[in-house]
Amino acid sequence: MFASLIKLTESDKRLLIAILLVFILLFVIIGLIGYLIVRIMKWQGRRLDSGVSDVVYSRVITDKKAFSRYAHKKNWIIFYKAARIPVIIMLVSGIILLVRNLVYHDFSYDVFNKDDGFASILFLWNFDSTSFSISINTLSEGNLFDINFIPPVLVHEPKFVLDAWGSYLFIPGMAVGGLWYLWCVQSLISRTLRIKKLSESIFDKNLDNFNQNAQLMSSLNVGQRPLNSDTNKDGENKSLGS
Amino acid sequence: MDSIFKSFGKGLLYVLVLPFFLLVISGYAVAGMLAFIFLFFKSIILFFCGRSLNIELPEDKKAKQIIQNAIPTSPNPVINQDGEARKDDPKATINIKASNSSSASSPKSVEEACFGPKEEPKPKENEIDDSLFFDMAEDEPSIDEKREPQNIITEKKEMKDDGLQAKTPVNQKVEDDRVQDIVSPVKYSPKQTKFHEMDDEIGENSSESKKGVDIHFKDF
Repeated sequence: MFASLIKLTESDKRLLIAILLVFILLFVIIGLIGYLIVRIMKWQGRRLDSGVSDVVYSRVITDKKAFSRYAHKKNWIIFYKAARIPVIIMLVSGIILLVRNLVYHDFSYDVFNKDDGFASILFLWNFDSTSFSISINTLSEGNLFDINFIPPVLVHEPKFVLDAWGSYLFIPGMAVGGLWYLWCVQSLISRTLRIKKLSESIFDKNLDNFNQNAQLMSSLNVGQRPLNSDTNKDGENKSLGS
Repeated sequence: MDSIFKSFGKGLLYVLVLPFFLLVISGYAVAGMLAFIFLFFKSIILFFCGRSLNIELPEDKKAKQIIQNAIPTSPNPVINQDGEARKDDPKATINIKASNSSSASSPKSVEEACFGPKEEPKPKENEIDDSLFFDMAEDEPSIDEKREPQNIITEKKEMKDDGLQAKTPVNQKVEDDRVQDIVSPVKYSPKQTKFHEMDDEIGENSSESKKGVDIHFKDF
């Protein structure tokens, strides 16, 4: 077994390198998507600043707890106002489906079925017969890896069905409304994180760069000549001379 | 190459964090829906009480008031929490009461309010400023001292006549408007956001908010 693993043909090596590259590329893409999401969330969070800056500038709020309470309250109101439109879209979509069911007297209607549902305008494949397998060839001849792949079979082509109008309106409406609502939720989380960060930074009393002794010494001018002392032309202090 | 491996590492990390992130998102989605329902009913109750769910909280109104008071008179925005000048600070020269009855010396911009009035270049001694004719008192020393007394008397008479002509009803109204513009304090409105636009009530008063000026406090 191990002896056969060492005997990699050129095509096996290529396959291994290709698999490794695909694996790396996949995670790089995921990393870039994650980076994009983080940037978007930072941007969403920063939009809170314009709403809460006045109370901080004017010092109406001067402590962390009050700021946190005020900002969270404002955050929820902003969320409510932002989420009104997607919620209305989803409600209207639901009402459309309800009306369709009432008209057709069919409350067991499957919105995704391929006959008079949303799937009627989609391509459909049968994945039952699909298989993908990589097996290791233990024989000394041929490639080390044997790849078997049976592709899925196309079972339905898109066509417009008039009876499926309910699902045609319901599914896109719910999808748009749902994604929009998730965007609002993401903004809510971003602002919450921003509030946490700001409440710690605005009222922070940091002593990292403070040294009381250094400040005291500098105020006493230790080791320095007094600033307003009279000096001779030679540079000597008069008071010292007398 | 480093950045690619960095992204690869981040990708691995994000794959591990993704389930928790989805959990947090779904939790917030449910909480958001509950909050939405609560705020919806609250807004309905407020609607029947003659109010609306406003993004402007009492703290915002207070802050707005403080900034509004600070703008017209303050050369130095050192203010207390209640909007009054600090008594212990000799540098603070804010006079809140004077804000409503501000004269021509009140600042016309936020920068002027915050950082003091701009020093305009003084006119040269020999130049005559025409705009001073209306406001010039008769007892004040004239800049036309070099001229002969007879000419000065005749010129003053002419000036008086011009002044009378200028104060016809139409000109009087124009002058009153000008004085009103100078006396009325600068209206402050906070920076508008997307959510302010969505707010119906603020949307109705949008003309009022357009009058506002943008403010940047350098020393805060």
